[in-house]
Amino acid sequence: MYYALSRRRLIGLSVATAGGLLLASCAPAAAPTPTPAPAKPAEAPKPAAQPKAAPTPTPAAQPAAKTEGQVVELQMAFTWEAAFQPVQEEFNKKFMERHPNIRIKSTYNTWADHNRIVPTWAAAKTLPDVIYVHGAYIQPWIKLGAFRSLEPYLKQDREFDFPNDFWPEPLKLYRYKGEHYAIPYDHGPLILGYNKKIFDEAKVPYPKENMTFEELLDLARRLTKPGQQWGFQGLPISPNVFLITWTGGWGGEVIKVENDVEVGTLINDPRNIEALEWWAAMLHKHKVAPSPAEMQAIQGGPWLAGRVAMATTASWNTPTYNKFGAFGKGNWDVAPWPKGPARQITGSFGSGFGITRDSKYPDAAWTYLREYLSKEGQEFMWGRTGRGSVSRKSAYQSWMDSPEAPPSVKYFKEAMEKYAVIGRPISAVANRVIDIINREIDQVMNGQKSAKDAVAEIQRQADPILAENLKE
Amino acid sequence: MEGQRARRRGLSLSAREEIEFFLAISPWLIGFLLFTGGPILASILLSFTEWSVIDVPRLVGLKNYLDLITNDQLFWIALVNTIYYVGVSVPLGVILSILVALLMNQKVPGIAVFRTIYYLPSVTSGVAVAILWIWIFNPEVGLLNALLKMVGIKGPGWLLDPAWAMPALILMSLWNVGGNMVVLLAGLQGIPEHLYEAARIDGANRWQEFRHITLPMLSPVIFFVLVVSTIAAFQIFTNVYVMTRGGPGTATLVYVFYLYQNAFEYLRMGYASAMAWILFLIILGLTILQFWASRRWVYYEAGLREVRRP
Repeated sequence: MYYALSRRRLIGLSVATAGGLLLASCAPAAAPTPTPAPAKPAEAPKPAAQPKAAPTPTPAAQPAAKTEGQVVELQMAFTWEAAFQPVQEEFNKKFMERHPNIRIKSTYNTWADHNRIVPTWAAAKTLPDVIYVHGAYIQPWIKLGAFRSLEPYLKQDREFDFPNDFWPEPLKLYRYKGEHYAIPYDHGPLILGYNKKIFDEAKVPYPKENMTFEELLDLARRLTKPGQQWGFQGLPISPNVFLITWTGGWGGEVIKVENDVEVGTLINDPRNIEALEWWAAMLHKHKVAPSPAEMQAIQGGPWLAGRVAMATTASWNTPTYNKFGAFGKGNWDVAPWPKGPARQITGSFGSGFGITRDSKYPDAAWTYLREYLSKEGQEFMWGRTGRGSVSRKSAYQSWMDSPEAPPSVKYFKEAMEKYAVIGRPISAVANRVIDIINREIDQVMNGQKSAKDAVAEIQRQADPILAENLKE
Repeated sequence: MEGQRARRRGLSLSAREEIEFFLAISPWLIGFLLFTGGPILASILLSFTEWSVIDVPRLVGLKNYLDLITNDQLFWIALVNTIYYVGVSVPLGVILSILVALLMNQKVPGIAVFRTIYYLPSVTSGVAVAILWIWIFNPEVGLLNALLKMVGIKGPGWLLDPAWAMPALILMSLWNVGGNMVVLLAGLQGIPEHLYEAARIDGANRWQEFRHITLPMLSPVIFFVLVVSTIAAFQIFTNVYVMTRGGPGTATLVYVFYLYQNAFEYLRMGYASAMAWILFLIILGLTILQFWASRRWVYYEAGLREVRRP
C-alpha cells in the first residue's frame, strides 16, 4: 500500500504528541519532589549546644490523627540550611517513634526559593501538608487559599494553650478575618546593638536604658572618626516593613488598619516628616552614619567589619554576629531601642508554620504541628540551639539561655512585652506598597528628595493599592 | 533503484525523506511546542485574566491592558527608561563593535590573543559581571572614580545617583561588544580583497575604501547586529536585578524588571503577561521598521546580481 505523509499531517501529529505531553506534564504529581539539601548560606548559624534527644510532649488531650490504623505520610517543607537540618531530622525521628502511624518526609528549600516554589506547588495542587511561611508571605497566601484555618484545632486543643502562651503581636501576621491560619515559631523585634570594643577604646559608657534618640545621636557623634569609624549604622534605607521603627517614636503611623484590614496609608503626617528628616540628618548633616557608598565599599558592611559603634539589631541576627562579626562573640551586646519625642516603639517580624489546603491528612498534620510548636518542641528546635527567638512565652527562656544570645538578651524580651509592633504592610498587596515606600524613602536618605515630597508620593501611589483590600 | 526499493515498502522516496526530516527535527519541535509554544499560548490567554498562580485565573477581558496604559505610572516610567537605554546603548555598542572589529581585522602578530581578550567578557556569567561592575562603580573605592581622580575629576555616585545610574548601565553594556565584534569580524573577512585592490588602482584613500567598500559590504552584518542588539537591549534584566533593582527611585526601572516584579514578586501573572505582549508588539513594530529602513542603507550583493540578471 502506498502512503505519503504530508508535512501538514506530520506537523499535526507532532502538535498532538506535544500537546499530550504538555497536558501530562500539567497533571498534579503525587508528591512534591524533595530538593537536595541547599548550600549553607553566608549567615547560616551552626546550631550550638544541640540537645541530644527530642522532647516528649505530654500526650494528654492530643487530638488523635484520624488515620484509622493506616500509616500516613506527611510532607513537610522547611527552609533550614544544611547545618540545621540534623536538628529537624532528630525531631522528626522522635516524633515518628511516638507516632508509628505517621511518617515524615521533609523537603528543604532555600529561603528565597521557598517563596517562589510554594505558589507553583499551589498551582499544581501539590502543596505539602505543613509548610514554613515567612510573615511577609502569609497574608497573600492565606487570601489565595493556600492554607487551612487552624481554628477548629486551636479551639479544641486546650493543652496547646493558644493564644495565651504566645506573644500577642506576632499572631496578627497569621490572622485573616478573625481566624488563624498559621502559628509563629520565631518572632523578634529590632533593637539597638553595640560594639563593646569601640565603646571601651573611646572610654564612653555603653548605651543606657531609657535612652532617647538625641542621646543616641550624641553617642554616635562621640564615636565617629570620619572615613574610618561611624557611630551608627541602620538608617531607614530600603526599610522594608520596618519603617515604624524609625518614624514611630515621633508619634506617627505608617499604615491605616481597620479590623485587621490594611485600608490605606497614614504616612503623610508632619510627625513622620520630622522623623525622616532627623534620620537623614544623621547621614548628611551630622555625618555619623556610613553613606550607601561606604556601606557598599566594605565587605559585609561596616557593622560586621567592626567599624560601627551601634546598629539596629534583630534577634535573628545574633548567630550571624557571633559567627561573622569582626568584634567577636562576647564583644557585642544589645540595649533597648531609643525613645522618640512621643513614645518608644519598634517593628518586629517572624515566621511560622501552617497546614495547607492540599493536605490529605490535616488531623495528622495538626498532631505534628502541635508537638513541633509546643513548649518542648520550640525549646528543642530553636530555643536551646539559639536558632531563633521563639514565639511561646514559656519557651523564651531557653533562647535567652542559649549560647547565641547576647549578655543583655532581656531587652529583646522587654521589647516584645512592652513596645514592639508587627511591621506593616503585610496584606496581599504589601509587596507593591513596600516597593513604593522603599523607592521614596531611599531618595530621602540619599538626599535626593525632601521627606515631605516623599511621604506625599507614597500616599498618592500606595493608597489606591491598599484600597484593593476593601474589595473582598 | 532507491526509489524502487522505497516503493516496494509502500513509501515514495520523497515521503521517506520527509519522515526522516521530521524525525530529525522532532526533538526540537516537541521541545519548542512544550516549553516555548505552550507558554506563549498560555501567556496570551493569561493576559486577559487575573491570576495569582495560587488561585484560579479569572477572566477580565482587556482590563490588564487598559490598566497598564491608562492607570500605571510605573509602566510608562519603565518604558521610557528602557527606550532611553536602548536608544543610547545600541548605537554606541554597534559603533564601538565596528571599530573594535576593524582593529581586530589588522594583520599583526598576536592578533588572535587580542581577539580572545575582547571576546572573553561575552562568555562571562552575567551575574558575576554585574557584581564586578558594582565594585567598579563604587563612588568611594571603585576603579572608575579612582581613574577619574587621577586626571583631576571627582567621579559621580554612579549607581547610587539617579542622574548617573542609567548612564552607568549603558557604559557597562559596552563591556559586551566582543560578541558583536566576532560577527562583524567574520563579515569583514568575507569582503573580497579584489574590491580594495581595484579601489586602490582608482586612487582611493583609506577613508574612501572604508566608506565605499567596507561599510556597504558590511551593511548586512551591521543590520543583523543592530536588530539583534535592539531586541536584546529591550530585554535588559540581569544587570538591573543584581545592581540596582530599579533604583535609585525609579532611575533604572526597566520594562522587563517591572514585568518580573509583577509576575514573581506581586504574583500578578495576568498583568505581567499583558506587559510581555505589549513588549512583543513594540519589538515587532520596531523590527519591521528596521527592515523597512534597511532597504535604504543595506547593500545585498546577491540581491543586486539577481536584479541585474536579464
